[in-house]
Amino acid sequence: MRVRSLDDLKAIAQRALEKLCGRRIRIAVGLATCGIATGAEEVYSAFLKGIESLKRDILLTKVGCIGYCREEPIVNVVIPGKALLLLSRVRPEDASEILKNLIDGDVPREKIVCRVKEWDHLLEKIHYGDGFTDVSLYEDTPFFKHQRKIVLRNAGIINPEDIEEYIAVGGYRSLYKALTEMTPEMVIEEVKRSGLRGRGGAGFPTGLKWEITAKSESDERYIICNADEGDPGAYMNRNEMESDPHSLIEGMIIGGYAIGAKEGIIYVRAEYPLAISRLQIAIEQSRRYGLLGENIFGTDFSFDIRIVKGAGAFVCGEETAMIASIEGETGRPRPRPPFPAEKGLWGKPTNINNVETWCNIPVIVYKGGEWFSKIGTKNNTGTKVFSLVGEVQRVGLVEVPLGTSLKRIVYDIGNGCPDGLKVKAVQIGGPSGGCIPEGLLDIPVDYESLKEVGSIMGSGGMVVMSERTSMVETAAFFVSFTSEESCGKCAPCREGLKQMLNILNKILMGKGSPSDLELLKELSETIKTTSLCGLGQTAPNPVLTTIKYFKEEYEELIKRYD
Amino acid sequence: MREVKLKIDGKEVIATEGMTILEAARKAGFEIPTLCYHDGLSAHGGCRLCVVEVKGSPRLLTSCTTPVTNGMEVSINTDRVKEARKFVMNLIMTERNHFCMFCEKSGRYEETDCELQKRAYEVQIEHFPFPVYVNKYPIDTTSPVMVMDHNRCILCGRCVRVCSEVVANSTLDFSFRGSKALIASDTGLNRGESSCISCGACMQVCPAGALFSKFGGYKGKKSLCEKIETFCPICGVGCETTNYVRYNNIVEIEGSGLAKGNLDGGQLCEKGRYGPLMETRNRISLPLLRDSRGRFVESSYQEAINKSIQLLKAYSPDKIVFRVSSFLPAEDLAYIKGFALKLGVKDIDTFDGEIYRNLISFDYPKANYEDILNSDLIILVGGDIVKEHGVVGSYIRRAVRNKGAELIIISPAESKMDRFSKEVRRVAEGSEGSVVKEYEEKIRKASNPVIILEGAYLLKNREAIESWLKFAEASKVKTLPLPPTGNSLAAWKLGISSKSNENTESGKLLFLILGDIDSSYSPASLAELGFEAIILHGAYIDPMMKLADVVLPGKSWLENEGTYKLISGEVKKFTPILRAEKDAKSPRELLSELADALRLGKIDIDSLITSL
Ligand SMILES: Cc1cc2nc3c(=O)[nH]c(=O)nc-3n(C[C@H](O)[C@H](O)[C@H](O)COP(=O)(O)O)c2cc1C
Ligand code: SF4
Ligand code: SF4
Ligand code: SF4
Ligand code: FES
Repeated sequence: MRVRSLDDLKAIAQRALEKLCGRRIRIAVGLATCGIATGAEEVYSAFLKGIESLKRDILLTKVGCIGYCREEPIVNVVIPGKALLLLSRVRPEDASEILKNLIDGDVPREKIVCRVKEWDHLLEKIHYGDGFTDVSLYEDTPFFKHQRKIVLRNAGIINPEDIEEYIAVGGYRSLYKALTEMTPEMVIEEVKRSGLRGRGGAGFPTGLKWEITAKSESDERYIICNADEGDPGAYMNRNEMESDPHSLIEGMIIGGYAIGAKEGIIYVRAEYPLAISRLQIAIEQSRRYGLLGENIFGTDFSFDIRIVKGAGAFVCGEETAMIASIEGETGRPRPRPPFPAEKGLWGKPTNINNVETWCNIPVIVYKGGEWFSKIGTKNNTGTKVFSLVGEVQRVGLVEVPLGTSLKRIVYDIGNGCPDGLKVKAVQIGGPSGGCIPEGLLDIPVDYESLKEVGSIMGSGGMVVMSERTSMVETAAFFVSFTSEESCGKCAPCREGLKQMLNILNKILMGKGSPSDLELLKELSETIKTTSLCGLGQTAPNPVLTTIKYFKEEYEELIKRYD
Repeated sequence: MREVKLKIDGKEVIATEGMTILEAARKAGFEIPTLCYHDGLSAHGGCRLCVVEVKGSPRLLTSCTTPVTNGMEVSINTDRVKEARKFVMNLIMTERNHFCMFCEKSGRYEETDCELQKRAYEVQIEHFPFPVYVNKYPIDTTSPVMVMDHNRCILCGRCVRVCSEVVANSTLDFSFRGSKALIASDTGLNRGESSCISCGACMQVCPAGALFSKFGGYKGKKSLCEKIETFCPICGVGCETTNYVRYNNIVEIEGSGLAKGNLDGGQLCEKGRYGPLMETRNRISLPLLRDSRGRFVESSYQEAINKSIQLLKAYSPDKIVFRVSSFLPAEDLAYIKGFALKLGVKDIDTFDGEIYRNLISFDYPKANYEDILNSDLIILVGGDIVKEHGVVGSYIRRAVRNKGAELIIISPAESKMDRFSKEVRRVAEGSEGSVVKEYEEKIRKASNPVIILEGAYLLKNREAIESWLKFAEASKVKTLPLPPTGNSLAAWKLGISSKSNENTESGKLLFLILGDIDSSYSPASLAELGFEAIILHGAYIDPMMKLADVVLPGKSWLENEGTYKLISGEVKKFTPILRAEKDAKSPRELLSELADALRLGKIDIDSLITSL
């Protein structure tokens, strides 16, 4: 069926709400990659079998990931009229027990993480109900307490393979608003007002980038979603696509309208098969509902999206390399200027945004830039999703308002290192980020503060390191990554990183000399100032920050040789 | 073009919009060192040697890729910039094996053939601050014309760009990432087995010792050679060349003007760049005479001349026949014609005269190079254009690559052009004309179709070309028959193709002027014609010599000054590259001696030459 009006949307929403909190018991298994890795598919099958043998009308469905990856497989259950319950570490053998309890209107207590009375999908609120008052509330749970979900507003709650559930929680209403009540300029103005900055790394103001692309003289324009997420340990974008693909798609359609593009491309890593398949399903559904394709909502705006699978190189996440790769060439960065906003894909103005950037758009359009700009801090509005990994107790995906202190994330949300170890440093910003020592964890997470201490925001990787981590080894690990992934086009990055890695390995083998530190710094500076693309320009960061904050570790290793 | 004002090292410089800092600086007389940059190719931005400081930018910017903007303040030689350049140069020099003393291209600053070494001198690299890890990279010697030593490659990508942007053959690309990067042919074949057409463009632009000629090696530095600028007359395209010559030996031939703006991008084909260096035939170095017992003996030049005069006197004009190579300078062709006329000889023809007689009977619109470049459908009929007219092949590839033109090849033999065509139609030699019908409709529907007829064998075959040319004539499709030699067009224009139609040659004298090329005769076919006597003039030992009575040494084209009429219609004067041996004469030199002896009077060729 083709959606033509707000009433159509509302009718679908009404229908689908029945699935989310209707008259049936709903069991939703967290089936994102993280859940599947811990056996969620087997859990799903166990429930399926159990329900079949019970011959009861229970709705079993899949959802994405709510972010608490340490507690996977996570299952959420809704007994009509009662609070939604989040169950953790559910095993297939637990299924029958849980089912039995559910039928009796109960749930085994030891499985419950927390209960949700009401979930704010931002465009819509869903009231589940009371009950289970002995269980702690979602908003009182340490892991969730300090989070604020904008990007992940639907993740883990709705079925990512069902467009109707997305519509039930307010989906595509922003698109309707943009297409029927706003001009493209107004949309851009709203995004500018929100203060949203790119979530892919550099933090460039999104509204401004849109405006430049929209104003570039051309008969055609393109928009691209950067879903090439290549930082080791980072999986924010994967989760966003697996858990709520329509949010990304809606954001892109609105972007296409604002910028004047007819085609959008999602460039996604080939290593993300589940994200790709969910995106494909979502795109198909949107087309079927008339939300993608010709004359969306009956307006004269037409737009379509296609998926391009990444070639597997980290550097393809860089805008110009990505464009080259989409054009069928080897993914190697091209000199800028010209910037993609002027001359991008096929020589046409092109706007590239990260998955997370796009996912913010529907909310901004619906709630207004003003509303968004009040979250976070003045120049760093909104939230950011981080993958909190490494030596931290509560591993997971967390979304916090920008400006939240690192301490809060590492200790309050993550609960510090396991086994009573002390936190030594936090590495932020992917392989080209910096290592921030424990003593500086008071700083707020925002683009400028991170830069000041020698790191970058990056796309959201956050690795916690305990006192037993060797910082020289850490630096060598990251340099070996960037050196491997350097495309080899420009000499300083290609050869400089190799030389740096050799020196680091020499130091690690106990064969370093004091002059090596100077040489490392000199190499770092030259590579930073002379490399062509962001990879080379930031790759020395782990070395520079570890020399700055953990110099004694280097000296210790060098002294051993003397 | 709007004007842009900027400051370079404090000096006000006026540039035009779209220029890079490098272009603006060079135009204003500043020098910025570069390596990966080449002014005939797109900017790459890989070596980072050309970095400069631009006020307001925290990072250094590469001048070869950064466009100028109004009010820009550029410093090209600050300490920071110099340090960075030196550092980058150090990285490049230590990356692979750049121990210059073992390199073919190495030399002192004024002498070196290596741009990399020159830049190293300029930024004053005295030692390597980093350890050198000489990995063993492969050395690919499988190409028939050049060696690729990956150990000396600096990954500047010039070869990759020239092969795709200018030659449009796209054989080369980078493979692997980071410091493992390697230039690869067809993503990993040996060059000799790849789609490479041995044009040598990559070798010419390589700034390091990675690509070098198999023929120029160890003959001396180019800087020590005499440098002769002229063009290559071999196929009629007439590519401009720079010829490096030492001790009357060619060391290397390069395409000139590999710079922006030239339609051909300054390329050469394999024949043009390596042909003269690959010549294996032996020269006719001495005059030969047949003695009374029928044996060939060496003679003095004068004896051979006397014998020729004697023969020319012994036959009446209607019993004398001239058969001439069309690959001779127009001066020679015109002189031969004048000589024959004065003698009263009417039967004079070039080896490709038949083609001329085939072509003149049709009136079809002629295609030029621009037509090929702008075409949407190219029908290539006949022989191997890569071997015959390689640079015209590049126009076809460019149309296919850049404009999405469709190429259809109708040919009896495989060619390296085949991979660019949507349809390759194998036909038996001689039946190229039989398929015209099948393509007529498609051609008529195209907006700018071009038909190209390639190969002497094809153009000689009246039946095979008739259907194509009749179709071209009727449907006004632009067509380009490619002439078999570099001066066929001049020969035809001069009207040296008036073969008599008698079927017997017995009792006649044949004056065979071969120039550089083997005639279209074989000894057997010539013997069958039954000439009574033969005077042969040519540069190279030829199997036909067996049948001759007098053999006179000729100049090769490399030694012979003169005029050529190119496919483009342009008329160009060739400057000789080599000096000839004493007895080797051009046809006009020889004939003028004979004309004097025969008292033929002055033979005037000037008006003929200007009529070209
Ligand atoms: C080596 C390299 C890798 C990158 N990888 C990614 C990536 O995986 N995802 C991403 O969104 N941006 C990545 N970026 C940043 C993009 O180039 C670009 O800035 C970003 O996609 C712009 O989107 P935004 O404005 O929404 O942040 C990378 C940049 C570099 C230099
Ligand atoms: S900085 Fe590194 S990754 Fe970027 S273009 Fe240069 S070599 Fe390639
Ligand atoms: S010789 Fe010519 S065709 Fe072969 S790789 Fe070099 S540029 Fe390309
Ligand atoms: S072979 Fe020569 S031209 Fe090609 S990348 Fe290497 S150094 Fe540059
Ligand atoms: S010459 Fe500019 S980067 Fe190589």
